[in-house]
Amino acid sequence: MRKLSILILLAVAFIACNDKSKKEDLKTKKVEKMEISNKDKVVALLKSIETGAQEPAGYINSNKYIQHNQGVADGLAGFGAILGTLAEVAKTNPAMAPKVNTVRAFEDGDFVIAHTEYNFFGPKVGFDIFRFENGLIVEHWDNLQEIAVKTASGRTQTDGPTELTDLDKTEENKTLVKNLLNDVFMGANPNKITDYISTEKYDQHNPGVKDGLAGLGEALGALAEAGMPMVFEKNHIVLGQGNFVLSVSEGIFMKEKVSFYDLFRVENGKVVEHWDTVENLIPASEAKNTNGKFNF
Amino acid sequence: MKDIIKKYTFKEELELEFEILDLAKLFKSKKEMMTKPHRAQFYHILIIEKGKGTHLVDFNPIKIENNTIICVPHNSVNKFDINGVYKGKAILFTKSFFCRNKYDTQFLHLSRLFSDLYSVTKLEFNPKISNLSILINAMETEYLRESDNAKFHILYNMLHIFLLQTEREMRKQGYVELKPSANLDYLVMFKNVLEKNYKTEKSVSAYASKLSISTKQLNKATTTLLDKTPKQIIDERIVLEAKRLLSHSSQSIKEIAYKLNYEEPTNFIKYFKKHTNSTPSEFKENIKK
Repeated sequence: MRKLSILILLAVAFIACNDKSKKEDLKTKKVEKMEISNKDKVVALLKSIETGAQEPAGYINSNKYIQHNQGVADGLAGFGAILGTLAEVAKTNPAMAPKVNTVRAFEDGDFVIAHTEYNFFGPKVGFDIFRFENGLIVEHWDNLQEIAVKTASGRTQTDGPTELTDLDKTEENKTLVKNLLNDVFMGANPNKITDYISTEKYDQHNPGVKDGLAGLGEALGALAEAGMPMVFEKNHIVLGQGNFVLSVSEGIFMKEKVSFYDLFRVENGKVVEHWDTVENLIPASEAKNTNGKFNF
Repeated sequence: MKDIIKKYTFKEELELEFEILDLAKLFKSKKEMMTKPHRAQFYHILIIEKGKGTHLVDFNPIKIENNTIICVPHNSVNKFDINGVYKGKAILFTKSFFCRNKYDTQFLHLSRLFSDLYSVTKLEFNPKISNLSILINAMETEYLRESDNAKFHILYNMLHIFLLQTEREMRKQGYVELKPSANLDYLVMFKNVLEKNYKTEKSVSAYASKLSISTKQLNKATTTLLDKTPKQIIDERIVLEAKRLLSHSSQSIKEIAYKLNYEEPTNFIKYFKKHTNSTPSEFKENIKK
């Protein structure tokens, strides 16, 4: 804040000089010196996977970058290596050229959460979480899933509102999601579902589930009848800003150990929209780093 | 000397001696070991959704086909087909996992699914319509859960139900089982005693006296039920062991003869040739192919 006010003071002083060329100089200087938000850094970093821009890699702490994607090696070198592999693949198959379109992003303390459409070894949708220390990225988690050709609700896995609202309700909304997980998904009070999810509107972006509470019930029922109920075993973190809340959990889905990333949109104290990705866990023996998928 | 044939026991770090695994992944990761003759110290249930090739259980060929369930008793020597396709699930469990009491032991011992009184059980199974599918899904889901007080008991009970339902399927598919009778009791007792003593004791009368019955009674029991004399059953058991030992390369024929209580290797070679139409070394060569 102090930097910014100094800049403004300086600006006033220069304008007073009424020197046109100096004013131009100042404008560029101002842009350089303005603090870029952590969120903007993340969006720029992710976009650089597509564009190959070099600067955003500088937002990563080169001495400390703890990688939780179990398929990528630790450190900045690991990030570089995966970009190298992507470029190699794209060379032989232009359809595999990386594409990155971050649809929504928000911040919670030192964490930045991004929801992104990728062409990353094929079309994928992903959530990325970055942790910052002193303005630099020091840690990364993600959860990717292939983009479905057809979805049960007709919505895509990423469309819908992106605007951050209700910034004063962050804590309230995070508590709502924590209680939803605990009571409904972990089973402490399964009948409380309507206390948390709106009975009027529940826009669904999970490709296998229809809109509304009825859609959710139908999908979960079909799984249970087939002998493979969805099991939420542990919640690792709940992050949110305003109307958007992301939960990171682990459990069993379709007879596989998975990580669940669920993004909820909250409106007037009820969940009204849901996006998610479900990724199979890689056994520790096959992981490229020892940081674990979670460990927030 | 202890390692007579390559034996595979359950991984020690496993708290449960039960696994339900993706068969294709298992076959891919352990192909080298699995395609050599090896004796597994656990029961296998192979649920084949897509399959091709010839699987060997105790040197008997079993055709691997789509939509089948194959039950393999513990201690038998398995050889997976190196060119085979194995897609589906594998359920593996030990005797100590399943046998919580004498009824379980009896069930596992006598069930047509795993009993050595019969040929290996291979059933047809349509995963799309079979109620076994739900149980398989449920076992897989339960198996992945974090351990708690209930996990072992739930898996044990689900396995029990699975085996009972599989037995029912088996009966529907026309597998005939021996009916309970005094003769069956004698046969089962004879098999048990034989299992413990076949390396040292080869005479029929010795077994009859161990069972406190006459050789005539024993003879009647085995011929009525299996159409085999007690002598034939003893010979089959010795030959099977010889084959199992021969299929593992580290032991010489002389050593194997000694293991089976033949003081003269030539006697063993003659005996083996008489029952299998090939010499031990010919058999050893063939199995490696």
